[in-house]
Amino acid sequence: MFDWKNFEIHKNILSHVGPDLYQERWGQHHIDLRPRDLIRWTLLCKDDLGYLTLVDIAAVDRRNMPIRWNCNFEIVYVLFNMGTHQRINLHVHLNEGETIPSIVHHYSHAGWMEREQAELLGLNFDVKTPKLILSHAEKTIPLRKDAVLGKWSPYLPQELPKLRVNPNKSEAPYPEESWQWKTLGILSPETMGNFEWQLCFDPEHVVAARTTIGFHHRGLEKLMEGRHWLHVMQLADLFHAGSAPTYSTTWAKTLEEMLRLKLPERAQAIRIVLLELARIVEHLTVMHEMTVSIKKDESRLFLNGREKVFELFEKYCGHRQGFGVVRLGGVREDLPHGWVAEYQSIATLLQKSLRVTHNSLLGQHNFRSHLDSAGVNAQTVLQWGVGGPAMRASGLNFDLRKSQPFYFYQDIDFDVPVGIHGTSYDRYLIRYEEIHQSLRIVTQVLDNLPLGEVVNTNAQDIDALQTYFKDLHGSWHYSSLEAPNGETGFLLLCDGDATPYRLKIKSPSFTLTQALPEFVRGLRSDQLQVAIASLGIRKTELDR
Amino acid sequence: MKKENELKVYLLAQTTLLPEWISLMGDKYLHALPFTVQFTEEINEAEVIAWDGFLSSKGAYYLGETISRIKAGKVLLLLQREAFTLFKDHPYLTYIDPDPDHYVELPGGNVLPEDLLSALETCYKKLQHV
Repeated sequence: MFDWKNFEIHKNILSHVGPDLYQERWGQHHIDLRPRDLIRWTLLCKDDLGYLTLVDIAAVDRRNMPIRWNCNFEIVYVLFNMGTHQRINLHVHLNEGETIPSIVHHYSHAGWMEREQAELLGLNFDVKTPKLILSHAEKTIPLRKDAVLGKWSPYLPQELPKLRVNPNKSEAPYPEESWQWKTLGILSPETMGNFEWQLCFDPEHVVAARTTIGFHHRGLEKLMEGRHWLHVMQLADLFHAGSAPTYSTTWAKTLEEMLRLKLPERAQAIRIVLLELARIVEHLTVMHEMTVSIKKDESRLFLNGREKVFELFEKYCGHRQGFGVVRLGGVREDLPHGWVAEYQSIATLLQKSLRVTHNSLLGQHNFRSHLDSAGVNAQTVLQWGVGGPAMRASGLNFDLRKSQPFYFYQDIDFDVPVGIHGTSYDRYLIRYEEIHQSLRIVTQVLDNLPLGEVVNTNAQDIDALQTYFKDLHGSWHYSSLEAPNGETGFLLLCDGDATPYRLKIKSPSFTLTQALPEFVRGLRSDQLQVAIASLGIRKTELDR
Repeated sequence: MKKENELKVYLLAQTTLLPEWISLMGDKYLHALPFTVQFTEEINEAEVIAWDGFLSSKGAYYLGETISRIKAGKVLLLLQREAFTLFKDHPYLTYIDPDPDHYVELPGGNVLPEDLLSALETCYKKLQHV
């Protein structure tokens, strides 16, 4: 759990660089740097201070804002310490054309994050890589403030790597000579519509894989930069409609932390209930997708359970999913009369039906043979920055609800299930157990539901809020929560205006897709689809 | 081989609606129609393609053939209004505007499974009569 004593220790160490370079805001450390100091600071943070995880990278064109050291661009690296649960933000200030040292040798998963920022902001990293989201020949730099968006240039898939051939025919052939590369596009069932895949088979098992994303890119980050803070709340759940209201809650949490807006206890309780119901919905959807991919009739039973949770959402807000229920400073409305009793009967029914379905699946020997595939160990998961059930299935006991409890999760008694082998089967079991834990959380919250308002009345005065936003001019803040598939967060730069100046979304699918070659290595072709389904990769989270 | 009274549906890049499409595969809605709905993973054998109608340049690489088949007479379901409001002026996206006979329009983001069933029924009728 977040420990202020540890925070003060790190604050004392870091403040030696001077108040000009170090700041502490909202319980996070901020350091201002020039590109030449980046590697030194990265090593210090990782090796000496224990910030082993890179959470996200966001760059911004600051030409319409006050600048530092006469630099027009800024890149923020958000690092996380899993031991002391602290975050440090390294702000690198640079000018156009300046080269930024890549940190990919220190954080493996920095690769895609750097590529994304390089192409969307036109920055130069010292490691040259092809474009990630846009087409290779694309010249426009969309996230620059003076960007004039034109038509996209046509896309051509990457060439398949050439395999090594032994030139000496009198010797035994290299093992690679029996391998075969194969391209699977977004229309292939194995990719589930999310990305293009280049896979190398040996010829039975996957030995190497590459993924390309950007096929459904809508530019939602750019779209949100032009919208009012409160409109973003409604758009946020488009990132992953299946787990609504997770993203809108994350966005509201980010703003509330920046504005130091206190939530009424009842609003916090209702948000916890909604988040846990969204988690149940998403886990049931993933379990359904897993069982569909191996053609099990039980798949429909997961959906029937999900319909019951949708009924609860519908009774609360009129919509089957949790769209539009979150307000700045609370939630839209109180729980209606009789809702708690309704929940209790549905929870009992859901638990029973889940057990029956689960036991039925376990009784079929081919269920385990499809799911018991090559596993991913904890070190690999940590190296690639993967979170959520995929991380916990590999044996890492980490959950933001425990480590950085938001609302009043610290007062709730629940367990974090942890797997061993990191296989699809482990991920299935983690999701199954997490549903039971979520029901346990909701039951406890509803049994002790606090009285009072469901929204902070100070948050209703938009004009007054606007004056607070003006005071936040030039402030960065990162806030996150534990979503069903991992950490979701918003990294936000405020310029005092009614719209976000820069908004960067942290989504679990992006990290998972980057790490996907690790998750599929050693699998047979018939195990691929279920392995992807178990990760819960969503195309809307993937292409911003 | 195609069965009698069967409608094959392919889900393509449906963003906000995907959870509701999946709902149709549960017991509650599965037998609500006078024909069988079969979700297919093979776009070339689909009779109905559910799509928001927007195309990026990367997506176009894989969908060129599909678009020509849609324009040649396949029924297309559109999540039109919400996607259209958000993205219609987006310079990076192309909107596929088929012949009115060849698509069925869904009302918007807040679509219930019942609306999807009704839209599928319209598709089925259009396939038989148009």
